Amino acid sequence: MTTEAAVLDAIAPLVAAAIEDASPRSSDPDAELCLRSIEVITLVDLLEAQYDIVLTSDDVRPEHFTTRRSIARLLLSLGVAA
Amino acid sequence: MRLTRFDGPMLLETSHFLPPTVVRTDALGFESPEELVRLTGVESRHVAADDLATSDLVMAAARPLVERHGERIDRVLVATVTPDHPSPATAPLVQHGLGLDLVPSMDLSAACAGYVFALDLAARAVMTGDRAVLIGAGECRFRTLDRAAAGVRTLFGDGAAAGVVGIDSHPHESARPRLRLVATCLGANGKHHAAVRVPAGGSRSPTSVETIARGEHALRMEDGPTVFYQAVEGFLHIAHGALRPLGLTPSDVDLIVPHQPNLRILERVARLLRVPLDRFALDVAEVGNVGGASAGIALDRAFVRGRIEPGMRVLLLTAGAGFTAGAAVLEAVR
Repeated sequence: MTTEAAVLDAIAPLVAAAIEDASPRSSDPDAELCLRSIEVITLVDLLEAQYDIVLTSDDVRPEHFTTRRSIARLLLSLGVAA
Repeated sequence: MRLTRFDGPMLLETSHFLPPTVVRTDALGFESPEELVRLTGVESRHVAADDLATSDLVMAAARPLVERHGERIDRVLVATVTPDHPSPATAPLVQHGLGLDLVPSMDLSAACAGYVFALDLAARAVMTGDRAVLIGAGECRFRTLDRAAAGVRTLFGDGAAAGVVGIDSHPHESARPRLRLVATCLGANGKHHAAVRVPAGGSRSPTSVETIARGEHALRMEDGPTVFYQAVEGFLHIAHGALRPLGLTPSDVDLIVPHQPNLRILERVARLLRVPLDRFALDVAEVGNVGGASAGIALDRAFVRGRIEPGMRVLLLTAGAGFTAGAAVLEAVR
């Protein structure tokens, strides 16, 4: 398993916990998540708790939260290991 | 970022005014009010009647202070981004309406940091000879947000705060402690000017049929989550900027009185400052975000609730559009 794949696996339950509506989002890592503001904020809290990091406003730019893969790549760029 | 230490100026007394009409978030007509409350923490806000403008709210807040300090007031500063008119300033209306002498009166526009910017300017004025300065901060924001996004409209309410800044006390009639100003730290970063603003109605884009049709006279926030985290960083940066040069840490502060942008922003600020949230003066649930007046309203309500006692160290902490940010370190004294 690649590092990116491991991070994708690790964040799956966090993304699921952050999504509030009943409609399931695709698990395709490149599918657009279309997260609402409140979901992004919740997900950031969960990621920070999970990985003991503090995300900045640059980290939370919309392009970093477009897809599961973009989130994983953000985390990898911050030195997070799955 | 600019730190100034003070020796002498005091916030002698404070007051506030909230219009009596309360509008709950679930009465705003949005589809998911519960989500908006969870996103913002704003359950209700006070809304000014249609025949009241910002000067009326500031005067209502300031009137009891003028009764006690009016003869010594040598200057009036009004912080607002929702003035009665684009021009001239609102402060002369306040000066005249309160029956003050023909003292210099001016507005300042520092968005949600307005109260602290006004406090800083007032302290400088009393250091150079003014006997006392009336500072007011007020907003009538809610009525301008008919066409704003739900997440923006939910945030804001109307109200005003006032204070009197002087070097020393004339006879101290209030049972409340006064606040000795230790230092202010102010800053701005115009790089993010577009992040939170009213796009039209100024010289860059004068009011026209087209700007009205495009809804460009309501406050807009770009990229909600990004602005959220930028605001947090503004609070943190200015807090540390004010405290570190004084050899203080956030845990040395007894009460943090912040601008009230959004409960979740303040929860994050508290966590990252490593200060328990109960050390914050929070009004956001029932008052919402009242722009430049928020911190002043929260400060006076903290006095009313008996949360400020002699010997306490208080940090006023604000950040807002522009971006602007301001913090003031104060000590409560008899």
